[in-house]
Amino acid sequence: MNHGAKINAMSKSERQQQSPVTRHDAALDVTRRSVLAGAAAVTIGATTTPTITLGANPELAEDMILFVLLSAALTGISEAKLAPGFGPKERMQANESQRFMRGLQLSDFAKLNVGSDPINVKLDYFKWVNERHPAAFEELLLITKNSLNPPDRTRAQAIIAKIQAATPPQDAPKYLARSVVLMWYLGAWYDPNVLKTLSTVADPDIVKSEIISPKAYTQGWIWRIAQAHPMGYSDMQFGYWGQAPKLDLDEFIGRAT
Amino acid sequence: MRRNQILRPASATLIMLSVIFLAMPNAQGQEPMALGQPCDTNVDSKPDPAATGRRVATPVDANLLKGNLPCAERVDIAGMFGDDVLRNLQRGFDFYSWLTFIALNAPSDNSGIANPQAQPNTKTKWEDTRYFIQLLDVMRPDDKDPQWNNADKREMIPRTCRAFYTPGTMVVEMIEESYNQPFKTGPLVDQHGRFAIFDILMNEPMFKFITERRLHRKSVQADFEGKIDFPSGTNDGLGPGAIMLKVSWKIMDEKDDKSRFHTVDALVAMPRAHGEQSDPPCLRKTLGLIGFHVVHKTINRRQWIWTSFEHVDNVPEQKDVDAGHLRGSYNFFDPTCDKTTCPLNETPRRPWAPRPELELKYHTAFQSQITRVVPLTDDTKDINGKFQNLLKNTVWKNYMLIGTQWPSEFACASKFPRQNPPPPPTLPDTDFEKEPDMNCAPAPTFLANTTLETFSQGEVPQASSSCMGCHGNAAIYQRPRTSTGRFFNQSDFTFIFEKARP
Repeated sequence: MNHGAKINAMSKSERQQQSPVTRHDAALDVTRRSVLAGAAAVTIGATTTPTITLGANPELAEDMILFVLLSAALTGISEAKLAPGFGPKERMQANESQRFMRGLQLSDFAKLNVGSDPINVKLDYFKWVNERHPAAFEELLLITKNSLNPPDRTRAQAIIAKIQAATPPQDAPKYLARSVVLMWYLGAWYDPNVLKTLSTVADPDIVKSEIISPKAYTQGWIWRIAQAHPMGYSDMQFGYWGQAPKLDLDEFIGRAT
Repeated sequence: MRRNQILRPASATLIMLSVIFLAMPNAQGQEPMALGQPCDTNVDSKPDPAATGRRVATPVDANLLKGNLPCAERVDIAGMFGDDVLRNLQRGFDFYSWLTFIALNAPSDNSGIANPQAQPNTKTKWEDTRYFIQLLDVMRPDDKDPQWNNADKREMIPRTCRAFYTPGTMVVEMIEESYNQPFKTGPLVDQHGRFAIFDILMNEPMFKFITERRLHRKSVQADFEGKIDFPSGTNDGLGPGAIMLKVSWKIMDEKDDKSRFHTVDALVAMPRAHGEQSDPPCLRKTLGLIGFHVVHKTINRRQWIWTSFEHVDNVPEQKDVDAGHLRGSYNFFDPTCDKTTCPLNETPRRPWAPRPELELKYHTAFQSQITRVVPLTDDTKDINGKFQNLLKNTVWKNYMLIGTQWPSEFACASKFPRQNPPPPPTLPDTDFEKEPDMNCAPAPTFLANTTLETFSQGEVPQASSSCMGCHGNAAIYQRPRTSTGRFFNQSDFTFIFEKARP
């Protein structure tokens, strides 16, 4: 816990110094949860320096952009599909926009829209993860931030490599990343601690999960990839069941940058 | 002559005189102007001269009353609300909706919606056969082909009304869709115990697309190999594209303040009673406009743009009912009746069909007790206030925008070829087969007019009213076929093809 809190404090501080995105006054970012976390650190961690974690904030454009970039890297689904409307504010040709997204720097965040999606399931997901595993979540966002524009590989490759490199006992982000993937694909929550436990079991039993929300139930990406829909909900054209599946998966999921 | 009575031929003369009077050219009138000639290209915000990068609202003033139709929306992610892109865009679409409302409801003589001589019953452009045609004049019951701008419809209307008809009179033929709500969820009955009635119209580009392919015939639809792809509106010379309207009317009587409604004196052809051999009655009724849907296909919104207006007196919002903030009266809500006696948003007991002898009076004492389940947004209320103030000297101040639904995923909504009409081959790449979301993320997700989707209001996926969510399922009449592998031929977001005659 103290380790996570320390990372949080460092990353938040660093981001507040570097971010070009307009931020709220840091004092306003101190939530009841973060104050309690700090107080708990004072009480329990008597031998360590107490730090007040500010946590990720879904209202901050920078944090939401990092979450979308992270999610795209983990799922392989394009940012604009996960968060419709996500992309450069300035009008660009498609190839120009792709170049911009590939070469994204932190200083470009002010030039990005975080989306104009009326369903906005990304906000639900952000809050869900942030409320349950704030420290590991913030670390994932930090990894994303530090992997924006690697010289030798794609952003997704860099993010995944860093996450995979984590070793016990600092591997909470790795299992949280798996939960995030399952969340986007299934609209369901698989607790990362359970996933971690099961990772060492040769023949695991059925993993317990919960549907995050009615909205999440309809937005699972597994349905789109299968060119199907969840029971009781479909946005597909009447009569779609008479059509052969399309072969071009990009049409459905795009490609993450 | 007392209004609302069954017509007798002797009254025809009086009707003719009144229609002739109403059809006289307005002193300030000009030559008819085609809709969208030129297009209205106003946008809802403009750069703030006081602050670089900021935008401020375009003044809602007389400059917006020219009555030109927006041939396509002009919206931008930049707007009054800074980085809140969704809010900026929604305001842009709501602004577009008001411009469209003004253009379509301007007097048909082209004198402008603010013409001080205009009356509540002045004929609007959409009521003029030069601009729009009623659906049942396209889907004709006889063997004759429909004609555009056929002002004399005597031979087309139900026989029962012909003796009373004069050219230019609106005729509403009562079929099930004229009184029963979508998905046959039931009739809407006003506080005077009368049915609300509904009608559908289309503009010339839509009419031409249908009739040039003879799709007004079910037999032709069945063998149609092409795709239904109505022309899209553009602001660069191709015109407004396809527009369809769905309107709702309240039967006006002595207790109604007609000055608050746009009205039309119409003939209503009642349905033939089951087993009845003689002609059903034809009624002369004054109809008051209470609901107004505009559906417009544009080049970047191929799922169409869905605009909905209502009369301000229709119903209270549910939250106002809960808070006890009620006005003295509503068209479809009795503020003096408690929930037990007048259950909210319920349909009456069957049978629902109007009885010809009751002249559109419901056969029991039932009155609908309707509330608006999803309130208008503050932004929509704000823009309504501005436009209502602009129209304060007209009857149109009594109408309000409920909302505008639009496909929010830009790449999805406009990713198809921009040629208009689409290039050959016959099957344009503009269908949405196997699209995961053929509606491209409608915003808002739900939208309901309390007079036209009364009983499907709410925010329950797949159950509550969503314009695109529902109309995306529309298909033409088509026999299952194996040669193309297509079981259903999508009808481009309209159910009008269902009304085709054999």
